[in-house]
Amino acid sequence: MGYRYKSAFLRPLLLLLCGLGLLYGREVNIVEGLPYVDVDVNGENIRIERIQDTSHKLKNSYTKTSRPTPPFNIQPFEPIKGVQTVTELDVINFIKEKVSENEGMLIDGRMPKWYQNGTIPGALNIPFSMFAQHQENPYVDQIFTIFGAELDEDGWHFDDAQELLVFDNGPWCQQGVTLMKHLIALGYPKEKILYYRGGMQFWQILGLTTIKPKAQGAS
Amino acid sequence: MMRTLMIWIVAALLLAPSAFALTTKELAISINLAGKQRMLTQKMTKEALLVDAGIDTQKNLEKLKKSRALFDKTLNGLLHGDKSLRLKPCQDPKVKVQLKKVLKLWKAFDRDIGKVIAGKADKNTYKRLEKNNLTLLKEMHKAVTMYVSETKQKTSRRAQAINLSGKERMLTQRMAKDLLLISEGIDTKKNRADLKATAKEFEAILKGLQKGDAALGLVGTKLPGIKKQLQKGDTLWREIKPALAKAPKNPKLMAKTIAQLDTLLVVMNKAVKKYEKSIQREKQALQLSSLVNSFMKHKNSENHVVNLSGKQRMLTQKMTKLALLVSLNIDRAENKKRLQNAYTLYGKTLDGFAKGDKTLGLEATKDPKVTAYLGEVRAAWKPFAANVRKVIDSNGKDTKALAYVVKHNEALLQKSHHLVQLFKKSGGKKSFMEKARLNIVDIAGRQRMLTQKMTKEKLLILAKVASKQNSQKLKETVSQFDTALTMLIKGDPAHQLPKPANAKMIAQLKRVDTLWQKLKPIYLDEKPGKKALQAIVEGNPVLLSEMNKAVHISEIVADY
Repeated sequence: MGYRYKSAFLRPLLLLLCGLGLLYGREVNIVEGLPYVDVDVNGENIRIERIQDTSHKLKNSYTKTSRPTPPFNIQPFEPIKGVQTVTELDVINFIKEKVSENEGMLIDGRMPKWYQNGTIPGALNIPFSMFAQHQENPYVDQIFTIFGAELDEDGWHFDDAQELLVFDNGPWCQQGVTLMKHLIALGYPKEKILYYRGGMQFWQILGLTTIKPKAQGAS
Repeated sequence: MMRTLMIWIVAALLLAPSAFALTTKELAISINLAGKQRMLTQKMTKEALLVDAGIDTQKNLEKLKKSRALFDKTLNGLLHGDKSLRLKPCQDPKVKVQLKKVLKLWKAFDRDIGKVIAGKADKNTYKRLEKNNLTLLKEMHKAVTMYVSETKQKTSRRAQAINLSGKERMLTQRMAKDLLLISEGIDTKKNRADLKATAKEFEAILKGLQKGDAALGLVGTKLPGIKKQLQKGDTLWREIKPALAKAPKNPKLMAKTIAQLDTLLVVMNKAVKKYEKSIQREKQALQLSSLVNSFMKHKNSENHVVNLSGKQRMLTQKMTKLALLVSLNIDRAENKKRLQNAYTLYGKTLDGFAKGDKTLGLEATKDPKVTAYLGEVRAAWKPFAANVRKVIDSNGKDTKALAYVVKHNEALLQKSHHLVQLFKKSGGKKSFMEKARLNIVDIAGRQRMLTQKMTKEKLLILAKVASKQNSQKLKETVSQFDTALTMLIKGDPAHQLPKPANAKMIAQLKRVDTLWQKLKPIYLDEKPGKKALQAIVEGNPVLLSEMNKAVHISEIVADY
């Protein structure tokens, strides 16, 4: 009887301790006290966390150190004056606060095949060259409307347009900067654009969650 | 199943704007506001009853005025558009007819609401309000359903969640109205039954929204924001539910319960907005995906067209080489077949550039410069094709036709090469990497032509046709192939050619190089024996095939 009592009491306690251990006993956190962040990605709950294996090393093309210039010039910290450069923590916060609430869009400016291979949770793909043609570009009106901008006889109005956080492969990649330059040239306000310079390379070096997007069946 | 669902959603997204002449965003606003009208029918009735009961008369009169003005403004906005509500006029004739039906009912209902506000309402006014609010609600609900079903959103489970969480707003007001009718002693039995049924429906939907309900078409949410909001609603509902039966007999409890139902309305409204935002992102993703696919299809077709136009250069040389092999009676039957194929393919591809060809994956060119130049290529191709035909039909014995082919093949090659350059420039401004990609496809594609050209030149030397001249040409062709292969393997910034980093591409170029290192000395050997000649005849198609594979890889890999 005594044993049974003990067992009935200890089992839930052990389970609770295990649960707490799982939650708080993580070695690799986003920051101390923040093991993960749950975000809504197109209706799915995705957990952004870091790889827990402390011996883990990247094996993909993001391990590469040297790429020829041009085009792989190192990007300045603030490549476009007036466009704020942000860190991984800002990106996570942006996904949580803006993307989940549909008040902001995380834009992967790389080509679709790269995006399909893995991206930051919540990112939508707009290839950097999509706006290269400024005159008579068939995509501008449709994409600006999706961004929430409104067109009338006076032109585009961006009051309700969403904030965009743009990223690409990383500090050696010009694609995100090119995309932002095109957007600004087409009238998108600089103050509604953010730039994650670290891109996919830094995101993966920190072991942060990546996903293979389902909805966008790009070629 | 998912695929079918996705197809439906995409179809709905694509069809919705054309069917309604409204964008998805405008349509979403119409659905939400039409849905809100259902709630307003119940809210107005409740507020009128509160005035009749003398509960917070002044406050409820103000609320009633606002609800009445909002219903009227929204109904007009749904029919004719309203800038301040961001409503565009309804374009669908069926929905329009339904909205006009609602308008007719509203006019009668509004007259009675006007009487309540003016303090001229009597027992009959309240009786009419009690009777007509449900008809108005029913017809407004029909309009909402029509908006939703026309957009095929009913196929989306999350759209059903929006619809039902929107309905919860109305149910809160319906319960409040029922409570007031019971407390006023109006149709007590009927209204008690309605209150019970409404409470049951509210609870079932709330549970379904949280945990899923197959019968209601709800899957339950995992989204943290919505979960939290529904939890708030659930907590409040647990407080309200036990009070529903007692409230009509206790004025204090009645006031508290009605206030709580109003709070529940606000809580549920927030949940609806959260659902809307969530589904809006899904729509954005699908719309963007469709646009990106269309853009990439166009971009890939640029690479493809450069590849195919590059292949035309090779075909000019291949046809000449095969015409020589046929006339030299080397593997005549097989080479005649090959010549026929090359001849057919060149003509088909040329037509495909101008008119489009599904089997070749070609769209008709829209570039006027290319269209004009295609006329020039066709003018050169027509007599060339006629002479190739004669070579085939005469088993290579028509020497005049062969001489024409030998004499004019390089002019056709030049024209085909110029066409490649025009295609490369076509299609607007290009980024560094896009230009680089086209250069790779062009230069790797040009190698295919060179494999055929050098064999043709070797055969002309062997056939003692302008031997000295062709010997010089052969050296140049070998050197061109050699240089371009090195450029492809090591990269060449001057020609905007990046060094390949893709393992598949590196391996393929290595295969080409190994083959080339074996064939190169044989091509350069001025007096090759029969064995060497055989090695060229056998090795050349393999070199061409391996080079072709390299072009294909360069066309499709993500990481060059």
